[in-house]
Amino acid sequence: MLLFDYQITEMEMIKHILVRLGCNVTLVDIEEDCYEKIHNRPYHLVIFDHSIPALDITDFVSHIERIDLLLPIAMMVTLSIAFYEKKYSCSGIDFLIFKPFGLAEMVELIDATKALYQRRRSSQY
Amino acid sequence: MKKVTSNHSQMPFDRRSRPDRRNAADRRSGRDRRAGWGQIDTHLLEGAKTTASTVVHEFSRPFTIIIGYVDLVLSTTEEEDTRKKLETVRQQLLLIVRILNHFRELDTYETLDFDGASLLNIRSGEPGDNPSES
Repeated sequence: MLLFDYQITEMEMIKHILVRLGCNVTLVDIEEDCYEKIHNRPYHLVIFDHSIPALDITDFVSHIERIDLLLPIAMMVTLSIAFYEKKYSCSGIDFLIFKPFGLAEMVELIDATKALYQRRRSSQY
Repeated sequence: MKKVTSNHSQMPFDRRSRPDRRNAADRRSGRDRRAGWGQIDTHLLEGAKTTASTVVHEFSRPFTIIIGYVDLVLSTTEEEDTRKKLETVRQQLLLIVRILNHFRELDTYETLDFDGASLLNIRSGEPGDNPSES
């Protein structure tokens, strides 16, 4: 899993949860590092925060899709679902994780990610 | 071309005597109405939604970190007394999450009277919210 966030305390906590759930986690706090990591090795999920300063979300997601089209993308969000449906429904983001969330929501996200990844891989061949 | 006159006697009705003006449902000033500003209720809802979104946005990160660590400690601790206390903390945190979710999806402006103070009714859509329902 690739976790992209700018808030170190939140990032550490999410990493702890993901590691507890058996995931290998790479932490990134710079956009360009994110692209480089995805270039260098395969990941099963990218999780990033909606409120990362100066991040063009549509551009970020498009860039990831150009590198790895199968890679599921999840965004941690705080506003209403109507806002995200209106603004980002066509952007290529696969999952929205509404804050505040805990262990149960992360388990749900990982299960959904596995299913989506399998589906994408099987439809590719 | 039809000529447009500004003869007041030809106005179809007197704007000041319209029902919504008489019963004070439309309390906009003449200037606001001409400028296209909406009804007072629309402004109140927009203000409430802005406040609610700000509260949810600002509170979400700290509560995510707190809930996450409580869940992590709960999943490892074996001491019964500590577990009980953490379960209580977790239940209260989930209550806060529910309140934040209500704030997040706020779409009506309704107030409740609490001992003379006006509170935003964030659970207006929930069953059992209306005291007359039983």
